[in-house]
Amino acid sequence: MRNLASLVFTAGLAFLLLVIAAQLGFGEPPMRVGGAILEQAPAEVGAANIVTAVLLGYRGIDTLGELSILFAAATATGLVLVRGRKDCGHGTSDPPGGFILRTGADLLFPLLLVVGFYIILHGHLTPGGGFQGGVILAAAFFVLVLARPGADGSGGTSHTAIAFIEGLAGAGFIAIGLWSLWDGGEFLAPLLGKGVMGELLSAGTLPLLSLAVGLKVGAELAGLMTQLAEQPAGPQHPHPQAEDRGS
Amino acid sequence: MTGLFSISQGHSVLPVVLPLLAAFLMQPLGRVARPLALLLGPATLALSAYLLIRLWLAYGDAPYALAIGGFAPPLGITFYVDRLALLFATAVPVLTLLFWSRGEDDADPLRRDAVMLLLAAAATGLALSGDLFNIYVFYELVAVASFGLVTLRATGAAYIATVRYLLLSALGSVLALVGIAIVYLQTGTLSLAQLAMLAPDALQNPLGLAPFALLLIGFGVKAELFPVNTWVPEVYATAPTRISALLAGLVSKLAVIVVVRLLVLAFDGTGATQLMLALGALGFVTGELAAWRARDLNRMLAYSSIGQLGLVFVGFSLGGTAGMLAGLALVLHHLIIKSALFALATRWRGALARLTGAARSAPVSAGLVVLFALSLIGVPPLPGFWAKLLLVLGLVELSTPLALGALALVLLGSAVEANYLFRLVVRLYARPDDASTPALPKPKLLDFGVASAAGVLLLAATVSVVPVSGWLRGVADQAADRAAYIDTVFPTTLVQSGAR
Amino acid sequence: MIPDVDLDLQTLFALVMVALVLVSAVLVLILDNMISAVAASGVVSLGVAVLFVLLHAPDVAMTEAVVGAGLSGVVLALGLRRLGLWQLDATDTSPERRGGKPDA
Repeated sequence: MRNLASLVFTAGLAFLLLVIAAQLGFGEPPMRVGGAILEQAPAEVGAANIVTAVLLGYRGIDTLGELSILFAAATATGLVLVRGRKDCGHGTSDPPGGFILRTGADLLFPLLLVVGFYIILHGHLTPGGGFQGGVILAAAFFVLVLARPGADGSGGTSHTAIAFIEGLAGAGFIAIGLWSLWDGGEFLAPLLGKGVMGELLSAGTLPLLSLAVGLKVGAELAGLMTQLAEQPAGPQHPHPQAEDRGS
Repeated sequence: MTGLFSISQGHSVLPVVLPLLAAFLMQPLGRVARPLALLLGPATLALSAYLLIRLWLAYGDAPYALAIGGFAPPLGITFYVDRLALLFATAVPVLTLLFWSRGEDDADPLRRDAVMLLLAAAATGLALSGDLFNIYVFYELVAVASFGLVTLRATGAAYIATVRYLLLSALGSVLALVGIAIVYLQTGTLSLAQLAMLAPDALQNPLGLAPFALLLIGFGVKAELFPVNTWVPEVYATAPTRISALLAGLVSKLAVIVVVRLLVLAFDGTGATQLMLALGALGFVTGELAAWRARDLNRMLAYSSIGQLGLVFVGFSLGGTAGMLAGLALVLHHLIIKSALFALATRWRGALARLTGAARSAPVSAGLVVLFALSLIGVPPLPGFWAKLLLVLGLVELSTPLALGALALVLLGSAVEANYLFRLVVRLYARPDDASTPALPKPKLLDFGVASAAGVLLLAATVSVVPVSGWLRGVADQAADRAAYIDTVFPTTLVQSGAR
Repeated sequence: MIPDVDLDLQTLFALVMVALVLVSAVLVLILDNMISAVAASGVVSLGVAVLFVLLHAPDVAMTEAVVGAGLSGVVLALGLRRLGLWQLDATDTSPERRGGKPDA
């Protein structure tokens, strides 16, 4: 019955959206804002990659909001995990990764790190930016954790270091914004001159903002994944299911 | 170089940004100086409230727009600050401070404080933002932060309620995003002011009603709108009572304000208002009927909150300054009363039967409950009466079949509401059937203070109903003025033609 | 039914990707084994990422590939492991196995 109801609901919603989509004029979007940004962005922001100019320039506060959403999700997950439900642990500690996995991880780690930082620092020039590069950085650290989980499954990651990088990178983003506010402009207004478009040091504060985003996202996701991978604290129950049934 | 202590319009962004900064710094600071980190949250919120009051005093008369990053609208994001925005933006830090969770037994107080700050920042952003997608970003932040907060009691029931809330919320967000995409596809802009300019051509047709319906349902999840409010009772019953107070009292109102801004600026047609009227009236009557059946104080308050928000939607759907005034009066009334009732409920949670005879151990608290109940029902001369009167008069004036049907539902719901609130009051003053029942604990001093302050505020509003309504009319006039919104964001026609 | 257009290589490739995405999306729903379902959802994201590349949106494609195909899969898998639902044998649905406890 329940399945039937959800099927009817989904079908109805799909029908509704299809009817709406059928009436929309695809292929001829009114490029009101988009067109203006394409014209003005090189002069106003100075970034060769227009997408980054929009993300960190025109809609910088949206990016700050999205960073905060990720931060809120990671923190909320932490709130749940720190208490956890001790009766659901899987009980066995992870075996260390085999020779192939360990060697592969050692080879991959520097490569991923370089790729991640390249994508972050070239965000204003080529496709990519803080979010994408940050996730790659997090993946680099997680590869290490996978290869050598250690006794508690954390792979020896330092939570303090992660917390500091994450917090200070986020604060750095806001500090750059406040800097321009105190400089007499508006919050997050571009500073530092635009330079020559296409060079690494151009587009004002955009590369700095991109670096802050990348470090924050990377640290946050690395922290989240190691926290998820860790063994739940507390004594291991030999038969978790038995207690589940009792409650 | 603006001085540290002078205030300028550019500072309007600080109440959103400073709590974010504090939330980011919470973990590093907590590892260096933990006591300082625990003070960081309240201190930041107090600073936000102070800044907003300074802004109110300096620029409260005329609305102004703030281009974030110095990028002129419609390319950049604008904050639009009028009295309505300032009113709700100021309510955010004040109420968050009043309901600051101080449960020292929480497993991780630093993380909890960080999430509270994120909630406050996002809620302030909802009040100030003048860009459709920026509103969506803040709305998501509110949602994600509230998921974390409602699990704080860490019971199985709380987790189940949260998962249900999360699923419904995710559905709402997707629908809202689809609505935003349709709006962007039809108009090519996300700036509310430019939308307001383009709306008569682009959005006031059946195809324009579709995104409004999607946005209404999407934002309606937090605003406890009729079909998407099923998460409310379980979450409010299982979350910490202070968090419930914050969600019911504050966050739901900000979602309503967002919908109202959209309605006034971009979707001001009969179809949209009829949709809101119908859903609001249904929400009111279903909420009150469910509250009538509730056997537990938090659930009763939750259902009653659904009902009251339905009433709010009915009020705003009346349209024009009159509708805005009725809606605003109901919103503020409910904001004050529901926060105060949840504050009293911090120690009284659980079955209603436990409250029998509570008036003997806590006479003042019981008296406050009576006052709030009377105002909710709408007994003259309390403010709730005037708010409901405005609503009823507006419905009578419309006198379309739909409005008269809604009027019947509103009157029916009010009768039900009166019945269960009187039942609650009678129970408070009844003699306990069993003398051995342990007396209920009195509310904590701060919660009691919040409730008494709300009571005093309510009585003050009763006495000075003429100036209060005059001031409220000013706020409503400003908020209902679409032309002023456009003129403020695009001061000259030169900019408009350039943007096109 | 099929519109009369000459399918160039790119359109053909896009159609193959759309089919892949649709099939994997349905697989997410019908697969009993949770880990396989997570893997299938990763395939959905990968296909969508390729579609973004075809539509000349490399930034979005990168995000989709990194977040959809990489990160969300890892987070979902770790979450399943934490819940004790990490198991390769889905046919045995007895509560003991659902608890994820190895027999040893």
